[in-house]
Amino acid sequence: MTTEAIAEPRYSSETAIKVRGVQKRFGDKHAVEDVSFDIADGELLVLVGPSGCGKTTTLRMLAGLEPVSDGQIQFGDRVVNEIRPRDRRIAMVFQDYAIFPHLTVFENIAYGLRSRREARKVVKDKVTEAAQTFRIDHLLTRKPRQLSGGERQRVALSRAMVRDAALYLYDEPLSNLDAQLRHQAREDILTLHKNKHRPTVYVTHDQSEAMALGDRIAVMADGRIQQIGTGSDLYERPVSEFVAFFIGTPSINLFDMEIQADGDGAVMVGSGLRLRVHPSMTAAARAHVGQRVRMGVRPEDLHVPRMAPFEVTEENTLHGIVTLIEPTASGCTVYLSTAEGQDFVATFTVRLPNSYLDQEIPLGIDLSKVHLFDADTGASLLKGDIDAVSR
Amino acid sequence: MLNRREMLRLLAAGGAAAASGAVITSCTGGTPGGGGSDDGADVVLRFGGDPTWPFDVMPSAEVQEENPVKKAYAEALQTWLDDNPGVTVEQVATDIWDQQALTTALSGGTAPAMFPGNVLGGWNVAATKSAFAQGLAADTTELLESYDMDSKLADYAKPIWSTWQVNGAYYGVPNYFGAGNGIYFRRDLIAELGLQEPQPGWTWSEFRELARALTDGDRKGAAFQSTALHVRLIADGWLELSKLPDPESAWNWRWDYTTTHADTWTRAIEDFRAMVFEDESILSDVAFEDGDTRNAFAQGRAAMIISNSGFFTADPNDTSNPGPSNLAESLGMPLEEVVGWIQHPRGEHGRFGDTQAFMTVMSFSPDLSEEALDKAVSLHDWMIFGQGWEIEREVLWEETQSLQSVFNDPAPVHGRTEVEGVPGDLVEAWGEQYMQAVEDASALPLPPNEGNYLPVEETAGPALTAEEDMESRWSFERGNVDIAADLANLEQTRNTQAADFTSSVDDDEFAEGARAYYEALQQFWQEHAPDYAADVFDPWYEDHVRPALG
Amino acid sequence: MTLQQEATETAGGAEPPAGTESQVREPAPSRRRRLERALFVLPAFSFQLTWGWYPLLMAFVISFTNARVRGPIEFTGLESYERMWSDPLVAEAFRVTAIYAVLSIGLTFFIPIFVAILLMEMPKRHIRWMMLLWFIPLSGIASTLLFRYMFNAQYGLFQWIATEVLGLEPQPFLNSSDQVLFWLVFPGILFFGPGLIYMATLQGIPASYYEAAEIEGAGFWRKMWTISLPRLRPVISMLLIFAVIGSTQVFEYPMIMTGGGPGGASRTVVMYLYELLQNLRYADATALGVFLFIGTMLLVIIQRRFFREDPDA
Repeated sequence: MTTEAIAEPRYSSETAIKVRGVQKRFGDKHAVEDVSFDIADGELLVLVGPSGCGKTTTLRMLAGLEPVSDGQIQFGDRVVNEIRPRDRRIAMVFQDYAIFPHLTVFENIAYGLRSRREARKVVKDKVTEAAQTFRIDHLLTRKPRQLSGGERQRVALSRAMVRDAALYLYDEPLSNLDAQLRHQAREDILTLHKNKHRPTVYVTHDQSEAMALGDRIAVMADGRIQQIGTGSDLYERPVSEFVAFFIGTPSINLFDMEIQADGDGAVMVGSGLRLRVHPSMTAAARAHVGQRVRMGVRPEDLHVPRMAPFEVTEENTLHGIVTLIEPTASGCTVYLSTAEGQDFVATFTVRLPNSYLDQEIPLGIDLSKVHLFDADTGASLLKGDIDAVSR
Repeated sequence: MLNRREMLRLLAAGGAAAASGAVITSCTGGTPGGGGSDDGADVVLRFGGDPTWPFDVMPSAEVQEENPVKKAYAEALQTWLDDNPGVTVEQVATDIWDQQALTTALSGGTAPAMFPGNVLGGWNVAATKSAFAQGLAADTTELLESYDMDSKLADYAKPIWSTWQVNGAYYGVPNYFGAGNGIYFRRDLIAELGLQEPQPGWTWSEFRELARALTDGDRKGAAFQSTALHVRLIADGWLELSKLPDPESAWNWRWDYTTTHADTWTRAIEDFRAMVFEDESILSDVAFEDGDTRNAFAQGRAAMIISNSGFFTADPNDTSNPGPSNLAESLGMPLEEVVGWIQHPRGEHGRFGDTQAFMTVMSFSPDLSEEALDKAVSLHDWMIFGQGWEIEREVLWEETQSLQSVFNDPAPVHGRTEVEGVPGDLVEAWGEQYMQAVEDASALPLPPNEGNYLPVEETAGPALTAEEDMESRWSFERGNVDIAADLANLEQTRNTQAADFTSSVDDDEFAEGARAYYEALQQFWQEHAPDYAADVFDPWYEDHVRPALG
Repeated sequence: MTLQQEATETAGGAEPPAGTESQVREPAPSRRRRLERALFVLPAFSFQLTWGWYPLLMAFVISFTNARVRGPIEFTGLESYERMWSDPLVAEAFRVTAIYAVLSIGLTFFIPIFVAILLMEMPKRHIRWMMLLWFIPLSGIASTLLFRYMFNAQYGLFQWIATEVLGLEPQPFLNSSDQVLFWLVFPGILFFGPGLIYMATLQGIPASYYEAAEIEGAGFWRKMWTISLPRLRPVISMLLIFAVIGSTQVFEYPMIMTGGGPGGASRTVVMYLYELLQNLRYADATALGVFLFIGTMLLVIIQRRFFREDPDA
């Protein structure tokens, strides 16, 4: 081909991608309502949330596969709302990989380069290099049907690898792989990301995947971003009961309580408990005296009294009957039930013998790490504590 | 009456591949039996077709109640059955109007007792006679004598019946006589415009004038199918002058469209095309079939059409196929004042046209036992020529009190125009003018038939297709047409085709028969069209035929 | 399984599970099982034998005889073949059939492929209407009769469109040996069904293929060449065989529309074969049938060369 390669557009700015007040409506239905975030150069942002939360729609709007109903998407300083996907200079890995079954592995990887009419030599070099990176260089003449699922996924990654894109997008790329391959695939994705060091958006419904991959994570629900931040931000300082519950396995335990003033301090009463509010939260708690709240306790913040890193007293103890003990790599997960019949979970770094089954045991709550949420709105009552939240 | 092309089209709906497959499969069969033959006194006659033809099984009481025709038929049939104990009639599914279905049944020995013999050859006379020669129908020569057919047949039907002889034998009985094709015209319009009504002996140039005068806006002077040009060419001798005996060759015939009368053909074709494309007085299209031209006439969109004499008596209750009666009714005038029928115009030299008697032959399954064949012929004789016909007329009169229903055939094969017990006759039913025209047409002499002089070939030889192609091309092709080239092409095609056929007739026998045939033909034209004989036929005969026959 | 389903599934992108190449081989079936299978196959096999192969074989045999319906059958060698080979009308019929086939495959087979691809770019609602139009079950004979009127050069609808709407000179339509074949094929562009099958197949292609291609910089044409057409290929291949066979065997439609006219310009091979049958020339007809069979088989063989079995393998 003698034609010159078609140049891809260049964007320039400090912040690579800006999303501002973006909305997507399908008829009357709001799939995405008012989403805003930035992605810095070389940053991997994970969009996570339950199915139907709008994360994939957001990704597709970034790709240009869905028109934006309202708001703005900027690549660098350029608004791309009206720009077709092929002119946006993006690369995307699809959930089903979207590799073409009638083309060889080589032609699949070379597809984008050929669209841009790159020189034959350039195509060959880039494809070979990418295939080597992802260990599929021996499969270049095969058709996709002859490949395993993992190999197909690496073809899709190679196709993104040969591209010099301004934004890399992943739409649940691991959901079709079995558990064993996932770990390797995750490594491959990180390889690609580190190699390119470009803004990247990764969509998943799996919070553990999000925690493992994301520089930052945006938790979405009902078409909105609930909270955006690093993994530890979300884990330690969730802005809402939803985020707290969504992030972390096993999920956070939630108890209905009521805040009461107690001298200078405050106590929480409910669910058969009477717990003293930790001094670090007293100020926040006292603003809500007499109100019903939800107390969140992470499973690892429940301790067997003799092993607790704090003093276990009447005011920080929870009694529960052991219903199930699940050994894990580092200890065990214990399922319990309070006298009132509320189920909760605790994780220990030690193994609990099965003789504890059906026994009632006391557990110390690390009250410095509990979360308090408004019982009606689910909003965290400890917001003063937390970093700015993007909405 | 269906013409050949119409038949083809109806059949086309069935699919040729299947039909040919069935024929092919059955060719190897040929186990005799079935076909309604039974030993002993009991004879079963099976009738095919839908509706069953020619005779129905006994109609039920309800059907008789509703339909006077059925009631009349039932009475006639019952009388015959009473006279012929041991005979029963049955219905079978074979479609006797489908050539392939019929030949398949015949080859497999399962054909119905009776069928229209013409179907065997797809309504082509030469092909039908070949089929007879191959034994596809029972030989009825002796039965014709024992049933004294000669005395029962109308005088006007005798010449055409004699042409159905195949090498001295007959393979059926006369069933229907038609006075042939002619031209229907609008008597009322001609009167209104103060024009002259056509008379027997009129010419094609008079036709052209009349067509032009009758053309007015959306109404055309005439509506034509592709057969119109054929009809026109026949009046100039197209049938006899295009073919020469050639005993030297394998097929004994060759075709010549260019050396002797090319000018005549060119003139006729150009004149015909001028009517269509210059005068624009003709409604015509390659897709036209009988129904299209007939509808155009019955709906007043064309003032003349070519059709057979029987169209005049079309059933006015059949509104899907409107006829002259429907036209008269829509104009609120008597039929006789609206529609006339006349034989075809004559050619340049006074040769009369294609108005020629037509006959449907009733043939019988060759697998019938002698007794069954006799009973079948007997039933046919009874219903068509005998008492059965009379009974049917009487009952029809009682039931309908309509002469047109009673005398529904303007030229009955037996020539009988009255029946005892029915006041009035055929002429009263249809009017004098039309009956006169039919009589005139029926009286047109029939040129000597090749088949009566020459032995019938076992295969029909080269088909008419090439000639029909050119006629269709000259009739419809809108662009320029090189008639001379077309004629040369036609000649070459037919002779190339003929070169691959071998006659089943001995050369000497052929030459002898041909000499007799051409002599008869010469005599015929000298007698009936002296100008044509003197100007055209005789010189051609002397210069081309005689030398060829030695 | 209907043709359409099969077509859709062949071309659809539903990928088979990984590692299908190492399929487990079935163990040899037991005797009882073999017997069962044979019994299941028997009816279809004998049907095919009786109504498929036997007539075919007999047609072949008959073409070497005088093929009389009754009476003794004599072998006549290649006489019928020679007669058919030198008959100018046979050559003409093959020429007409070839032109008809090229026109009908070009206009009613290939054009709908591109129309279908273009339609897929339209809103879903429009697609449904177009599919409905293509799906209108026009019966062969009924629509043919309708078109006979529409094509009339003196009062037909098409003439009205030509002269009144488009302001052209009056057109001859079927009354022209140059145009008749085109006009015979023409209605098929609007009302013939492969477009529907193409659209069904196209709808079975995963949207992600197009999206991936779009993101990889492919425009409309590149998407068509690299995705739509390759995915349609098995369907095109299969339908093309039907179209080739169908158009070389065409009979009813021109028979009813023109009867072969004007001047034999629309008489196909099968129509001529039928005329031979009408003239009781069974041996000639079967010999002509053998010629047609050989011609069609050659076309099918050529077709198979151009279309490999499975583009994904």
